[in-house]
Amino acid sequence: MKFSYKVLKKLVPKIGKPAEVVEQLTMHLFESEVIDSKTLDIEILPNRYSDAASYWGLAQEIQAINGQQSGCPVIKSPKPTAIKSFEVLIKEPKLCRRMAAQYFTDVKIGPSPQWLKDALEAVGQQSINNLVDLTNYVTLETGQPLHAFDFDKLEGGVLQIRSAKDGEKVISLENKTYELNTDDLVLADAKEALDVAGIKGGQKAEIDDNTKNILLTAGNFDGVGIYKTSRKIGIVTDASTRFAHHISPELVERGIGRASELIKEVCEAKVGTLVDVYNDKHKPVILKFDIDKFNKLSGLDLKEKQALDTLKRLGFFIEGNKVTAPAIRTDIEIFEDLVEEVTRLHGYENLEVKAPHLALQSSDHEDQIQLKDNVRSILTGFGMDEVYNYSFVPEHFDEEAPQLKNPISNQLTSLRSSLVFNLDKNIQDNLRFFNRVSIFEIGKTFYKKKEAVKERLMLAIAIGDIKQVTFFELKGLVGELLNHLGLVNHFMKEEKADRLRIESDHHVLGYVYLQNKGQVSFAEIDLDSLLPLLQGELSYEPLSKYPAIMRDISLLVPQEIRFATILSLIQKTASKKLQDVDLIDFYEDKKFSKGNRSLTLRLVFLDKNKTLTDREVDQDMNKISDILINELGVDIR
Amino acid sequence: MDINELKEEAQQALEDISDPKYLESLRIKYLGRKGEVTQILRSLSKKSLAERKKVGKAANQIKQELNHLFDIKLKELKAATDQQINLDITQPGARVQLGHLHPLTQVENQIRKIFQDLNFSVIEGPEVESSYNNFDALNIPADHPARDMWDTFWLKDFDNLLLRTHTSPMQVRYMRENKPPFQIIVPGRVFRYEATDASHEINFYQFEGLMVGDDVSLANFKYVVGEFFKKFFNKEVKIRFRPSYFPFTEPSVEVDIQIPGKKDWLEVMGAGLVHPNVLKAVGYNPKHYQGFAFGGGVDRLAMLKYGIDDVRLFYNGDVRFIQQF
Repeated sequence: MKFSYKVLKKLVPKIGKPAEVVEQLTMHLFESEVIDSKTLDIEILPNRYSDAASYWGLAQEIQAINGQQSGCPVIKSPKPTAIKSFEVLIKEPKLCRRMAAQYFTDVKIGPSPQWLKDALEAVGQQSINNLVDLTNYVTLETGQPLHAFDFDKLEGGVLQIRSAKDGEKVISLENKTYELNTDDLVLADAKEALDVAGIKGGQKAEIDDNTKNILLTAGNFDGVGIYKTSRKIGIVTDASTRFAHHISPELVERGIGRASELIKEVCEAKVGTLVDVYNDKHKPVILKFDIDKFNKLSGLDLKEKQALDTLKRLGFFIEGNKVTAPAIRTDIEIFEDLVEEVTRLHGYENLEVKAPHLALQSSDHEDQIQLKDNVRSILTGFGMDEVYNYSFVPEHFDEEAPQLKNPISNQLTSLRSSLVFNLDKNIQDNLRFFNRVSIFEIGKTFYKKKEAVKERLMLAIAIGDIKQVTFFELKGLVGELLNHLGLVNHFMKEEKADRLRIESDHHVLGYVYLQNKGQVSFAEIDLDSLLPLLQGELSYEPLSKYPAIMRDISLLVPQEIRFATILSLIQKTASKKLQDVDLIDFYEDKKFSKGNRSLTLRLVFLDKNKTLTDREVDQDMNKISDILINELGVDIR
Repeated sequence: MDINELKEEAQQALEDISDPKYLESLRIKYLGRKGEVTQILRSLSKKSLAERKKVGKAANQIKQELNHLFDIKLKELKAATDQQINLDITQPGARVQLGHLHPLTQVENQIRKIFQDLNFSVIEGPEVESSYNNFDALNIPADHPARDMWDTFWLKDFDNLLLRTHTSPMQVRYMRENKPPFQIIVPGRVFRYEATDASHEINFYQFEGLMVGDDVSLANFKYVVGEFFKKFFNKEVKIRFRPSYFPFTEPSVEVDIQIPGKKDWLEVMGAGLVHPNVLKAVGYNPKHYQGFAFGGGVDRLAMLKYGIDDVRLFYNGDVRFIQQF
């Protein structure tokens, strides 16, 4: 919010230079900066609109920061001389705690005096006429929004504060029409709505050059109501911002008093009857100040008098250790609020650092975090790069996935149920710059379950190559990853022609699948399901004292025979001495009839209790060859 | 030829050899089936028994010696060829690459490590939250303009579910289940409904800290945050607190840092003492417990640390970017 330096200096003659003032404000009150020599930009914190979004409030703060005692400027409200009979009727006392309206006659509408124009210009407001300018200026001075109506345009001698009727319209000064309903509050005369209460003035009783008699109003409206209406009709004004931040009804007095003083002076008006309806009177907030508790919370070591003097400078009333907050300090509710007041004025720079006292206890982290760490270190060890993507995907990707009520774009309408959608895009994007891309992502995915949205921690891995098949690399890598994470038993089962299912202990952990003839392949693993299956500790198995015997066997295999079938047949047929079967060579050749493949397997035999003889191994090998030839129609090459 | 002369000749010939392929022909010449030493041994059959004994013994000895010499020479030559290198070792090394962790992972790891060293435990929480945990329990009532500080993504078909706008709801979740004293750090992804630009993203990372005990003070927080930034930037970073407002802390402060050699103060954290209303909402008695909470941006710290000027780079999956870290 912008404020004029000149106006502040008038209120605080000993004020520092603009740069000094913003430094003081930043360190003790609000973040501030100098716009130019005339204007300061002060970022009012949301809980301080009531007392400090005004020249008077800021002046008090600046003086308190500088160790000076100050008070609110004295208002010399003129005595009403022009008696006029009118009624103020608050029909919604919950939404309007207070409404003051004052009659002025013989108002001379004209251009504003220079000082007023300057003060408004410094904060970027345009001068309209002396009366409107004064209402705006007094709002800045006191923090109380004001609105003046042309009294002669009001019908029925009554000002009502009531709910709008369904479909009731207010046409603003800028000639915009706002349609309201019963949730919204309006100011109205006997016949129709005059404005949107606390938000926007209407045309009906607008001040014009011929205005002679006015009704100046200062109200206090419920913040939530103003906030809702303001959001609904899509306008935020200085007044609506102030009201939405729950300003004090006590400001009404200041606003109307100060305005009448200035209207009398500047518009040479006669001050008339004031009607002030105040329903739910402010109750003073009285708190006990406990210096020990203060020091315990802040970590400072202040004397009670120091702390209480600080509060006094801010306008708190002190009696013994009882502290009464100024009526307009709506932010002061509990003792901790006083702690903030004293500490910030004392200065956070004066807060010494103190190491906390701790019981000796080792710090910990969740298993899930450890698992993520392990996955990351293994995969980067394989040369894979980690990417992060949005948690959002287009709806068409998975129509079952949870969707957003308010998506930011039509491409980001759903929560991701899988990491693969974005990873696929990453592969395509990156293959413009690389021949091979190996990436992974760890992140939350989302799914609906009954009446809830559930989350699942997923790992997705993708390898893309512009020429070569990457599928087997990824398949092998996933197996090795699972081994290293400590998953003892796992296997991959062919689920579809392009998709393997990773299983362990009757749990489906994920999938490995391919695209584009295997040049792009993906794996997705559910880390939440994996976690409980992992064995914490590895156990040692004695090394064999006897040598292993290796035998290679080359097979010419018809296309329709799957490797998995060959492998399981070998394992079923061989004796326990068969330790391992590896595929060491694989090729397809057009010379082979009808797409046959050549596979070379390496079989490893071992007996833990004795040295194996060639004869024993030959027996196994013969059995294996026979069964492969007879059952699968494989040729041994 | 005398057998001893033969030995000397063979020894001499061996000395002169430098190429292993001549070694074999030389061996054949002396020790082969028709070699000279073999010839002498064969010719013995025509000699008398005494002579046979005498010459034969000597010849056999020489044969063994020569065999031994040939073996040694062979090893020497082999070792020499092994050292003869035909590689241009100034050629570049093979491209062996470790993968790259995302810079946000690296920064988060570092944050976790520093806080774990300061005895904070690390926990995480869900990204979909109830509006109660995200707002109400944190003393942010509905229809309060303070909620405007957190632009929110809401879920369709679920009235009170949202994507958490900060990691602070984990304060509520953790405190409901645990009794003080404790100190935790919660890194995680958060969401804001706002237009993206170089410094705003719709999802980003925060880390939340919470320490509660009998007498945990704001001065304690100043210590902890000072230690953290000193270690994070590995420099004597200057710290300052400024007044601020968060509904869930009282007093509330903004933490600024000034990195040595830099002029500007950078806003890096929001913090404060846990508001009594939050303590009450989780079932604590504010008379017995007090503590501090803070929240910082992982993305922001990563940008400061690496000099990255556009937050969107973190989320577009460009490997050329990732491989720089």
